[in-house]
Amino acid sequence: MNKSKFLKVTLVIIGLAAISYGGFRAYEYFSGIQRLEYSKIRIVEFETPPIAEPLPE
Amino acid sequence: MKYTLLQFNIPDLNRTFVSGAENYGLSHIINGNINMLKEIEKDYGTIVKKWSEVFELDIEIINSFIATESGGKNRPANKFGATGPMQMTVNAVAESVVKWKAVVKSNLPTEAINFLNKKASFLTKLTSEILTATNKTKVKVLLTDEEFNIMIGCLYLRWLIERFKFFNKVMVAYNAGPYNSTLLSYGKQNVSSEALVINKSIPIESRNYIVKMLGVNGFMDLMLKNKLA
Repeated sequence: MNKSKFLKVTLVIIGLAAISYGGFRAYEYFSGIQRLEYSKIRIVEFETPPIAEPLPE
Repeated sequence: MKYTLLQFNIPDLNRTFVSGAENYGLSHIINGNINMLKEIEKDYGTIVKKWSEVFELDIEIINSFIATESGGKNRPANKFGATGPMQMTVNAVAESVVKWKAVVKSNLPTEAINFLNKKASFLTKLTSEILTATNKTKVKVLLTDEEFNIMIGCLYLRWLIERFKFFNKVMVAYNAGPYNSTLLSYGKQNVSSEALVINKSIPIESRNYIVKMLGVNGFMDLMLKNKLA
């Protein structure tokens, strides 16, 4: 009885951990974060065209 | 992960690099830049991959630095002594090796120590960043070696990242030097790339550097959009 309870709890914990990790990765994906091997990059889309002129000197 | 995780936006500022007739928004220049990045991958791919793993820097980052610094050419020393694909100088080599532990809070990676011992064993034994004339000449010659240049460039880049933490500040430090007074005046705080590029007290070359790397159709943008690594 005790053994099966322990198993159940373990499985629930593993399940919850998997769901939260999956949720976190899904959130990252949908908010435009790209993971490279060693860095995290947020892909940005600007609504207005970029400023295309030399910088002030 | 052994080192600081880099997090930044691509593009980080709504600007495209323009200087004279050179406009990174024009399609023929975009194609030229994509071809240059492909050439860099072809020429230095194996070396970059090896050292990207050791210093935990993504290939996209190293290739973009090579593109901005030298356009992928193993150039001889210019008037400031900047040499090779990553335009490294003797002073930057000595300083980053000597002060590595103080800034990064860990020893140099074993692969780097073994490589340095093979190429220039005096570098791993240095206690002062001021080199003797003989050692200076030795480093100058070594910097013309592609692998040494890229390895030491990656070492310097990781050293700067641990020191400044934010990618746009690292670019100013790589170009203008880590003791640039404007850069130091920001302290540890985060500064937007737009604020850096309009700050006239930072050299124009360093500000253009940020636009070339982090701007729209900049090298990082092109690398990611076209999956060039």
